[in-house]
Amino acid sequence: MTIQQICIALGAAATLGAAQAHTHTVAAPTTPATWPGGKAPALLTDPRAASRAGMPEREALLQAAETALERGMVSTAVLGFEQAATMLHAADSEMGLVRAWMQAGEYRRALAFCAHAAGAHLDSPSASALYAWLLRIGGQDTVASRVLAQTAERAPRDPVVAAVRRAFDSASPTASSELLATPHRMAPQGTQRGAGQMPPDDAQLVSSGVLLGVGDVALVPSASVANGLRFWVRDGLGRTTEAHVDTTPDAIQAVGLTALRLLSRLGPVNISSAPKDPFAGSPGFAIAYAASAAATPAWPWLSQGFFGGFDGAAGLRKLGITLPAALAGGPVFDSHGQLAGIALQGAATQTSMLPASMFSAFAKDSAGAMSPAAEPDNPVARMAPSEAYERALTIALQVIVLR
Amino acid sequence: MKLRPFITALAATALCLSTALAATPAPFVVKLIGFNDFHGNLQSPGTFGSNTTIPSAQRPAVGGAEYMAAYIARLKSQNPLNVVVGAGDFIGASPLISALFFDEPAVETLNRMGMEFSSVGNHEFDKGSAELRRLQNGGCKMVGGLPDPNSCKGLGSAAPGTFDGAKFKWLSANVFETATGRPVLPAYGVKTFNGVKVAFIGMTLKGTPGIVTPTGVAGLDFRDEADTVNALVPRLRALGIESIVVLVHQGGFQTSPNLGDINGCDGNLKNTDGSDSDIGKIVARLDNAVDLVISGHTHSAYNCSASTVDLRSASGVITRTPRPTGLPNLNGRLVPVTSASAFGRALTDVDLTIDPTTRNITSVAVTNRLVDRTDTEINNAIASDPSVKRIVDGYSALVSPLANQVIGAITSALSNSADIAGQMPAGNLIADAQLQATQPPLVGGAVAAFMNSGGVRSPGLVASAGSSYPYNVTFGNAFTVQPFGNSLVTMTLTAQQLKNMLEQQFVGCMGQTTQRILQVSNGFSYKWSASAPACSKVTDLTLTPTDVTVVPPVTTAAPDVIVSAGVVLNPTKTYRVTVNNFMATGGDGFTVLLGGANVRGGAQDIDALVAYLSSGYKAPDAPYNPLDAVLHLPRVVRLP
Repeated sequence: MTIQQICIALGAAATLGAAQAHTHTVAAPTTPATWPGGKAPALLTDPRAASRAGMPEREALLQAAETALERGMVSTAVLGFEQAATMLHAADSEMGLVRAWMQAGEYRRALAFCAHAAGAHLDSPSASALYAWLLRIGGQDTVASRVLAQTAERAPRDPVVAAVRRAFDSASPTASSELLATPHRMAPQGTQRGAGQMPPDDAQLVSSGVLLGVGDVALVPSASVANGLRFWVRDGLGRTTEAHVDTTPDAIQAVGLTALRLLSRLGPVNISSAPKDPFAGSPGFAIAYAASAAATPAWPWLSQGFFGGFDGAAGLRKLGITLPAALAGGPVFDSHGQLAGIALQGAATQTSMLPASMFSAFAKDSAGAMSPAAEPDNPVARMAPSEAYERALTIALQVIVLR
Repeated sequence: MKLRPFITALAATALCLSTALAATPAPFVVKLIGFNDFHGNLQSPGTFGSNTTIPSAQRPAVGGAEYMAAYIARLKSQNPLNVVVGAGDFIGASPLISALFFDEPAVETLNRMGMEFSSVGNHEFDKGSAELRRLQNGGCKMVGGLPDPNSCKGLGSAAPGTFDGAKFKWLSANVFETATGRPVLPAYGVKTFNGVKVAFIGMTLKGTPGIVTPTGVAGLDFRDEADTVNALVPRLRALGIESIVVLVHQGGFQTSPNLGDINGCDGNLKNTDGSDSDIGKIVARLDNAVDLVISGHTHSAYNCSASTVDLRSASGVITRTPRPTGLPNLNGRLVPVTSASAFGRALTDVDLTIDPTTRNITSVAVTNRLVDRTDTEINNAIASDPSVKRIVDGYSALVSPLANQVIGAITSALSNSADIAGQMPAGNLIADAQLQATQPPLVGGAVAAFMNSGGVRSPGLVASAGSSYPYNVTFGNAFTVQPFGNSLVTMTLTAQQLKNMLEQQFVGCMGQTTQRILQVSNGFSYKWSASAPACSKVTDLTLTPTDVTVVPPVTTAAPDVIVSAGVVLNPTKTYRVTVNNFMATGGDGFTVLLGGANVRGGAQDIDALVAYLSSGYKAPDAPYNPLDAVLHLPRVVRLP
C-alpha cells in the first residue's frame, strides 16, 4: 500500500489535476404514488387577493396607483402597482402595471406582461380579456379570438369576457361600460395637456388624424372638421389638447386634408417618413380609431396587409390594407415602421392612401422636424406589428369636434 | 507498552499526516448561474431597478435572450467549473413570440444560453406532461397527423422544419404518474467537478394541480417538496454525493422594513403577518445535507445568504448594511435561498466552495445581478456573436398576422415542375407578376420579365394538405415560393443581348455549365432546338406587347419578331426587361445581363407576386387559371 493509498483510506483525498466536470441525471425511485388526504388545494392567485380589505396597506397602494394613473402620473402609478405586486401575486396589480405601461406608450412591454398575467391567473377572466384586447388592437386578431374563446370556455358567464366578445363581434369595437372599469380598463386615461379644456360631453369623435412636426400640428380629414366650432385631438396615450384650424397648403387641401394647430404639443414625433412610397404588394400597417358615439379615450387599432397600386391620377394610392369600420385619417406605416401615408376614405368600400411623399414637405415646413428616413440596411427585414403599434400610439390621433 | 513500536507508529502517523497535509487537496470554487420564471421572454421585459429607490427614469432596460446568453457566457468565462441551472416556469404564460410557436423559441434560446438543469414549474404543465416531454425530447407539434404550421420553425434548432428539444434536463422529483407510479422526468441531475459530484434536485410546488388547467395535470401526482428531498438525500449520499442543491419552483416575497434590493432578504421572506412563507416552510423541513436552494415562482428577487445586504432609507440617505442570513432548516442551520426575479431580468451568480476531502460545499457566495442591456461589453459580445439575437429577431418577424392573409386564389395547382421545354406553371405566374410590377413607365417601362427557374421554390403554389381548389393562396404560400427577398431590376437590352441571354440558358454557351431555362412573361415566346449546337439553339423569338396590369391581360400591339430562323433581325433595337437582382449581377451564369443599360431597381419579388394576385385574382374576382388562353401558353417550345 502506498502512502497515498493509506492516506486516502484515512480520508485525505489526493488533489486532482485539471478542472473537469461531467453530468448525468437520475430518475426518482419508482415507488407507488401515495398522497395522504388527496391533492393539495392551491389557488392560482393568492387567496388574500380576493379580500383586498384584508390587506389595507396593499389596497391603499392600489388605490393610490389608480389615482396617479388617472392624473397621468405614470411613474407614480407604476411604483404603486409594483409595490402592491411585491406583496401579493395577484391579477389586479399585474393588470394595473399593464395599463400603466400602456399609458406610458410601452405596448410591447404591456403585451408581454399581460400574456403572463393572463396565463398565470387563469382564475381571473379579466386578465385574459385584457390580453385578448391588447392582442386585437395590435392586429393579432386570430390569436386574440383564440385567447378570448379559451377564456369564455373557462368563464362562460363572466361579464367582462362577454362584453369583449360583443365588442369583437361588432363592426367597430369600442370599450365602454364594464370594459372601462378597473383593474382591466381597456382604454387609456384621458389627460389634459397644457391650457385649454377637455372636450365636453357633447363633442363628437369624427375621425382619426396624424401628429406631425414636433408634435404641434396634425393633419386630419377636411370633411371631419367642416363646420366645427371647437376642435381637440387626443393620442393613444390619452393625452388631449385643444386645437384650431391652421393654414393648409392647397396641395394638401386638394386631397381632402386640413391642418390643425395644437394648443399644446403632444410630441415629440419619433418617427420618420418613408424614404420612398411603398411598392404595391409590400406589407404595411394602417392605424385608426374605431368609430364611437362617445368621444372617450381609446387605444387605436392596427391592421396589417399589403399596399395596393395607384388610385387615379391625383397621386393617391389604393391602401390595400383592410380597415374594418374604422375612422379614416390615421397613419399608415411601411414594413419598416416608417410613415408611408395617411389613410383616406375612398370611393365605395375602397380606402385610399395619401403617400407621405405628398405631405412630407408640409410636415417639414410646418415644424422643421420630420424628414425622410435613410434607406434601410436590410430592405427585407420587417418590423413586428407590436413595435409598429407602439410607434403608432403617439402619432395616431382621435379628432374630436364640437359643432 | 514498548517504546519502540510506539515510536514507530508515531513516526508512521507523522509521516502519513505530513504527507496528507502536503497532499491535502485545496478547496475549489464552482460557479453556479441560476435564474427562474423566464416565461419565454425572448425580448426585453422592460426596465428594472435593483431596488425600489431607483427612479423609473434611471432603471436600465433589462433581459432579452441574447443578453442573458451573453451575461451567462461572461460568468462562465470566469470559471471553467460552472453549471447553469433554473427553478422552473421557463415556459408557459409566455409572450406571443414564444407562445405562438408552442414555446419552442424559449427552449431553443435556453439551449443557447447553456442551461443544464431546471426544475419544472407549474407552467411547465400548462399543456400537459406529453407536451412537456415533447419540449424535452424534441420533434414537431402534431395536429391531425401533420406538423402544426407554427411548430418546428427551427430558427434555433438543427434545421428549419425541426425542433431539437431541450438540451438541458427538466427535473421533477416530486411529480409522478398516478397510473404507473413512475416519475414524469428525472428527479435529479449530477455534475462532477474535479471528481466531486454535485447533485441538483428539481421540483415544482406541490400545489401545482390547483394552479394549472386540470387537463394539464391529469394523471399526475405532486408530492410534498421537503419530504421528496429528504427521501432522496440518503440515496445521494450512498452515491458519495455530499453537495446538494435544490431547485424548487416555490418562493416568497421580501417584506418591510427595507427597500427590496435584489440582494436583500427583507423580513427573512416571512409573510406580512409574520408567518413563514411557502418557501420558508419547505426549507424549515429540509435535511441538513442540502447546501443551497434556488427558488422561484413569486417572481421576486432575493438573496438570503451570507451575502445578504439590508438597504434602508432614512431621511433620503440610503445605507447598505451586510446582514448574513439564510432560512433555517430542520436543524436550525441557515441555508442560502435565492431567486432572480423573473422574465430574464436578473441572474443569480453563486460561487460554491467545495472541500474535495469531504465532498461537501463549505461556503456559498451569492450575488444577484441585473441583465443590464446598457452594458457596453455585453453589447460588444452580442455584436461579435449575434447567433441568439438572430433567433430572437427571426421569431419576432414571424409573429405576424400576415402569414395567413389571403392574397388571391388559383383554380388548380401551380407547381414548380418544368415541362419538357422548361416552363413551370408557377414560373409563368411569377414572371407575369414581375412584369406587372415594372410595366408602367414610371416604375420601369418593362415589356418582358424573366425569372430564374431555381428561384421558383418547391412546391410552387399548391393547395395545402386537406384543402381543395379553387384554393385561397396565403402570403405564407407565396413566401414559400419566393423566399429569397430578391428585388426587381429593370434594364435595357438590345435584341442581340436578348438572344444571347436566351442562348446562355444552355450548357456550353458563354460559360454556362447547367441548363437553366428561364421563366418568361406573357407575350414573350420563343423556340429552342435541343439538337442544335451551343449558342445556336434559339430559332424563333417573338414579343407580342401585352398589358398585364389589367385583368385579363390585353395585347396592345402587333407581334415583334426579334429572331427568325436563328437570325436576329434588328440586333441594335432595344427592349426594357425585368429580372431579379440575383440574375442582374450575373447569377446562374447569366453574365450577358451584366451588360444591361439604364438599370433601375424596383420592388421585392414577393411584393410583386402579392400585388399581382391581390389586384386581379382575389375574391370577388375570379381565381387565377393557369390554363387560361389569355396567358398565351406555351411561351417556350422545345424542338427536337
